[in-house]
Amino acid sequence: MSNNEQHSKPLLRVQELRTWFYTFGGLVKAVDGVSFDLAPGEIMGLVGESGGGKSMIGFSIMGLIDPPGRIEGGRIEFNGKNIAGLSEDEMRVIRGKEIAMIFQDPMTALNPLYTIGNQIEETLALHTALSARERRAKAIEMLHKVGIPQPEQRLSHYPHQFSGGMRQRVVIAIAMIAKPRLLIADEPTTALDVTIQAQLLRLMRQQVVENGTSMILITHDLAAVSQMADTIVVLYCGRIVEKGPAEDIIARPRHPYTRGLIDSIPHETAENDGPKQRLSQIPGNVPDIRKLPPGCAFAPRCSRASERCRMQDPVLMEHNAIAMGSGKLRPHAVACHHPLAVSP
Amino acid sequence: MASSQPIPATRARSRMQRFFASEFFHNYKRNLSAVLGSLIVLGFLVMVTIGPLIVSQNPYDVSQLDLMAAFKPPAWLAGGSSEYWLGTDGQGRDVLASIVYGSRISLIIGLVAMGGACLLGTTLGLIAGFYGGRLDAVIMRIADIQLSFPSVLTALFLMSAFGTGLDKVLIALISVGWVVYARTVRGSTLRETQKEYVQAARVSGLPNRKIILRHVLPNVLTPLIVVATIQVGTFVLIEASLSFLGVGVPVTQPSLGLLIKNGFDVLFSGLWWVSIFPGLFIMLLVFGINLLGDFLRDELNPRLK
Amino acid sequence: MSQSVKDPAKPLLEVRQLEQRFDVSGSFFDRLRIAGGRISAPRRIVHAVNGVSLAVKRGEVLGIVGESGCGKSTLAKTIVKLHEPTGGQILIEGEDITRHDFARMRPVRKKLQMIFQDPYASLNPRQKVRDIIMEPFLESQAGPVPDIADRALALLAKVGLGIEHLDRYPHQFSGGQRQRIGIARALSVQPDLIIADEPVSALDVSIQAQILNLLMDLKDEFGFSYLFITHDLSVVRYISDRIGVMYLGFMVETGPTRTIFAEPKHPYTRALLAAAPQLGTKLGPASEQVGGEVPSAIDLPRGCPFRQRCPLAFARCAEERPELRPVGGGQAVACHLHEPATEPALAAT
Repeated sequence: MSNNEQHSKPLLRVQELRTWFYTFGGLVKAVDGVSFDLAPGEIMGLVGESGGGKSMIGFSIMGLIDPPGRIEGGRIEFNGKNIAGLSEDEMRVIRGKEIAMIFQDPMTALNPLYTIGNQIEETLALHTALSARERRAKAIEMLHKVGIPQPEQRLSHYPHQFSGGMRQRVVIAIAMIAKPRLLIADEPTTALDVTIQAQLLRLMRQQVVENGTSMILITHDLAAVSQMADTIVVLYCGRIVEKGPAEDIIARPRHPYTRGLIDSIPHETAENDGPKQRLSQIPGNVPDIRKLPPGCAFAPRCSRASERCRMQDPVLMEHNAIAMGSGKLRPHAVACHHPLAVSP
Repeated sequence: MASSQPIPATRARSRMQRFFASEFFHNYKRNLSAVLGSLIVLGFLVMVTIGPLIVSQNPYDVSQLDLMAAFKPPAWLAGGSSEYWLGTDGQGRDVLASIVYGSRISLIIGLVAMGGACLLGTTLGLIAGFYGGRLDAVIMRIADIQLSFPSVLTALFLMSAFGTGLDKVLIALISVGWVVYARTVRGSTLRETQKEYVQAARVSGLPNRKIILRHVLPNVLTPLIVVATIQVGTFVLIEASLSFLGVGVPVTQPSLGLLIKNGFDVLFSGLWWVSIFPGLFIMLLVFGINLLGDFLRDELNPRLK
Repeated sequence: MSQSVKDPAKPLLEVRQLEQRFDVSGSFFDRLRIAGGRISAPRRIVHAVNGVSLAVKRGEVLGIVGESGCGKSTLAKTIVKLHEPTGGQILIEGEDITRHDFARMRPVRKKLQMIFQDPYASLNPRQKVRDIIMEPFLESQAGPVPDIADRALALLAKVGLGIEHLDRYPHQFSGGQRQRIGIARALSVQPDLIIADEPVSALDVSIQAQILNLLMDLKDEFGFSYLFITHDLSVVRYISDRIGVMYLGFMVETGPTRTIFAEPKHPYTRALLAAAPQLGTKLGPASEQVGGEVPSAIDLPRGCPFRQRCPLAFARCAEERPELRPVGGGQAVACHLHEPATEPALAAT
């Protein structure tokens, strides 16, 4: 495959993905018709609040949906091949080698009973034909790369001997050691302190850029996403409400929900000597996903909602946006009957 | 301002209706062993409440006994009589009637002892978990010692020290059984007192007694339902063992265990029915209780879900 | 609200040199160590709060910011006496409550309430909303109270909930609604000071803004003060009049919010501000180079608690622990870099 072709073709193409959960309380459409492309080397941020379905997209791609949930429809094309509905055995070959995942709680990814050396080398033993000595050398090199001091000694330590931030570095080392083509990071820094968080975001970006890995960063933290991502996908109640180039989404959000999310973050301009300004807030609560209203799911909380919004589902429509700096036209899509105007 | 009455809309649906619509009931319906277990237990409860009104004799009213009818085999065997379905023993007592009365005593002992053990163990567990420190250490070391003896042995010691009798059996069972509640409750209490709602109660100035009763206790009870259910079965078995060993209930109040012992003397003379049928009923009762207990454990333990 | 007779000069809350240590060594047998042929049983002491002083005036919001393990939460819980302080003083309107027992704390509890972090753990799952929110009030009253239901309703209305919520249980609410219930509970005794321990950090962004607005509205209406504990810089910046920055149980910098954000003096405050993600700015190369992680609170480092991570540390930092000293403009900082180098001996008192 030539270089050019590689760039034009997405590494991951998710089409009309529907992941539903059949619970006692009703049908939970956790992911309901989500489509996006991810180019090689691209960093995509998946943002939304709890219940938005962002984690379930990651789990669906990894083939980690367990009953009562199942992938109800749609395709997940990885490298041109549909991996939705592959068997556990087939997925196991892809997981770890081709697609790696990092979770919020590093303890869930590390086995407390094995040294981290064991765990890093195990990944290598599974996916490469290296000798034991080569594996050890590689593990040391990798620990060094993710910024763990004295990697030779640390290899024989157990996860509980590491701090939270160091553990997450180990997890990143394990995830990146097989040089996966796609890294899915699900709230990787949420449990960590800001100073550590910044260190780890830098580390992840550096690793991803170095290896040409594509990345999906799943988080509720709009600020962190805006620092990292090339493109942003905003989810609400299992559907994409807006997607586009990161700078464009942050600077010129077109969906009222995205706008609301951005404005909810207390920002610097809010400080003045007089009485504090109220934060602009999104009224109401995220609706029960089992009992979504007809039409746009955001309509009950939206100040722009009209009769049409309460009747008819808005579809994701593309508007071309000029990506900052490059001057290139890149698609910016929004699912709204009354999108916000594109004033600068 | 609107007067503040309870909202009729939510009240309209009764507790019963809500129960039948619940996930708990939904899972129960689809769980064959749970349904079977509860039917067995229900059957026993019906049997011991209205059974004495139905069976033909009171086996402990000597005037109703007929020595001529001693050692009659079950009705379907040669020499059996349709009057005594499961045969009779050496005094002409109807085995079925004995079982009905014996099950009553076994179940009452199991339930009362369970209640006593639960009360004692929960109280001690709450105290140990809430106050911690030396009190906790003392209570839990006693519990450890208690656990290091087989429960039948402990009960046997106590019975030989205090003598026999229904009340002594209850004391023995309670002193064997409280430990499991104390340990369970202590663990949950430690967990719950860490939670912020208990801290909120402290900040509100609630005295410890109120915090324990109003906040901790209601939140540590759920796991006890499982323990208590299974324990009734265990107690029925321990009591049966004690009675079989001759240190249990008095002969005037024979439990299922004592019935087995009574029949045991003639078991090898071909008169098997006198002790086998009470044995089968104990097995059935404990089996039913355990099936129910297993289901409750699966349903009420959030970690298994 | 009746606050007419109070002495306005006295701060509502004053904390002097507060110290909170926890013995985590366990029983004697847990402590037993055999090393080098010698048997010893060392104690392990967590130094959670180390000589923290602060004051909150009536109607003021003091924000305490710091990373996990910096002792900010312990500080809050010690002030409401969920922990018995191991040193220092806590004064409420000049009254020293440090050694108050349960009975003497009761009247103080009416002035002091707390809002908790986790909306899922801070409400008793077996209590109805009406019982939850009225509990502090009923506990503060001697006898039976008439019109409890009306009072409960009025409280719920203050936090944006209604009559239909009165007889529900906590599990029937979303995280944001639960936090409203927790706020109503704190309001029920009309406190003078509310200690809010990370009240919005467990909530979704859009709900965070709702709760922050509610907290500010209530403050404007009732005139109480907040001691607001958070790790979130944007939140503390929005809500606080003054800020205290904590690190490893020490107060390293205090000052008016604007000053702290405009001219942070302590290297740790600077690192914290630099690390906070900014909306719409790309992650640059690490600027203020603060590597490493927070050291253990069991073995406090000698000298300055921050020196091992500090890019500007020098010899003196390892020997002498810097005191919090005023640097003008209401700002105070605990750093040797910001002391007049000429008078170190004088300042040591």
